[in-house]
Amino acid sequence: MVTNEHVTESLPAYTLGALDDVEAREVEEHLAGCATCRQALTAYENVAGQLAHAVPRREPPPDLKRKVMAGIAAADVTVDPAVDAGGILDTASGTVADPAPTRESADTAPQEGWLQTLRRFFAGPVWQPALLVLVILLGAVNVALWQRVQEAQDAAPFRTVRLAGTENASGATGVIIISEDGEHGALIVQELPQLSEEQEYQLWLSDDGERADGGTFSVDEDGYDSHYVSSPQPLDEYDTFGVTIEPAGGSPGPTGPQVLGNRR
Amino acid sequence: MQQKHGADPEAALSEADDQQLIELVCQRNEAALSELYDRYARLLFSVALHMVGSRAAAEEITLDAFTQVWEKAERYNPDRASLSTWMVSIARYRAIDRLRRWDARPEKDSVYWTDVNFELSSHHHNPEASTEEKLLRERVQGALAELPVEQRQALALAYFKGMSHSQIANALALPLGTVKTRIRLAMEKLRRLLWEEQRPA
Repeated sequence: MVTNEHVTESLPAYTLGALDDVEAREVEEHLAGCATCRQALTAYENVAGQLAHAVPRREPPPDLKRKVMAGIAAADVTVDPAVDAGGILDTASGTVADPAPTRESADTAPQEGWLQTLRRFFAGPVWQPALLVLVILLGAVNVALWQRVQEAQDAAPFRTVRLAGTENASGATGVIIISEDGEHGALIVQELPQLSEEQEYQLWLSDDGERADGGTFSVDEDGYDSHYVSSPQPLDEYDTFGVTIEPAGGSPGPTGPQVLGNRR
Repeated sequence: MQQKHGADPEAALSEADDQQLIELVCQRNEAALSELYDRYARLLFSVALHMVGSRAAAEEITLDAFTQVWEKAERYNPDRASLSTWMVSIARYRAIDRLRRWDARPEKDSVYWTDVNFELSSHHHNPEASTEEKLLRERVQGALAELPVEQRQALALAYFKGMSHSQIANALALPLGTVKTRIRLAMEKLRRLLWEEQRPA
């Protein structure tokens, strides 16, 4: 099909998602440049939306609302203004001088480290789809990673919880990637200060005040680390995540200063 | 939490229209999302349940859909669709993703069209449904009832099972061209009945 021909006849099926991938791509290419077909698409999308009303109504489980509200609180970005000023959010507003350095640039080295680490973690079968997405995403400069992970959520079979640095580590950021079933997760941090041999970072997971140990870790000289998160319950049951500095080996409960958290 | 409105934000939210609510959601107003949940969770859950047939999966889809609404609220374009249409499409795509993953499993069941047909009667109407909701439903069911049964069947497989033209052709043992025509005719007729005739001149 030539993309300058109207795709009127394909629009009903396109709206329903009934076209094969090649046909759907052709329709999309045409739609990008054709206001007439876009308008027709709008009509069909609204018809499809209305069809939902023909479905018999069933009540959702009573506790679903609580889960939704806890979920958005956990997924929300609670960023300290201090972090905001010098942190990753500046990437989105274009204040990073060179937002898309090539693979040869100075930013490549830590980027490669990320890739290798992620490859190890996502090598299991459950992570295969996530691996594909991440490898594609990580083809870009690392400072853009956070935005990209977030943007990819439409397509990605995982959820992300973003962590912001506290006043104890104001340049630090982190993200916890949780598999769709909530059973598997990885913690990735950047710009955390390196600790002495006697100390380690420790992740804490909390569900309505019920706190669990998420394991200890250290960062490399670039302040990076990424590792598999083990937890007593599925990760999607926790709503609060925090990282503190603890004596090497970890503590039964947090004792040191907090450096990262998803809420304040 | 920001409160743009005066003394009684709770009352203000239940009075707010969908557009006002989604704008508040863009501003990270959790109470606005909570209000949208109250308005549309049943609809999204019902669609998801009808599609995937499992309460647990439908619950996850609904949860995901509201999370998406929270995270992607600024992508909603009021010129293009009503908020409920946009939200339903998010839930539907999630459900289709899941169906396709299940479809890859060897033990998948055949699709029986009675499982996926649109409901055309109001026999089990829900007493809690609002008048507006009932009217909407009657209108859509009325429009569907005007379609020939074979068009309705092909449409239901596409809409609820996320099946492609060729999958539907296989499932119904029909030529591909026949399936394409049925779906196109069905949607064109619904477009006339549910869109063009309903819009203010």
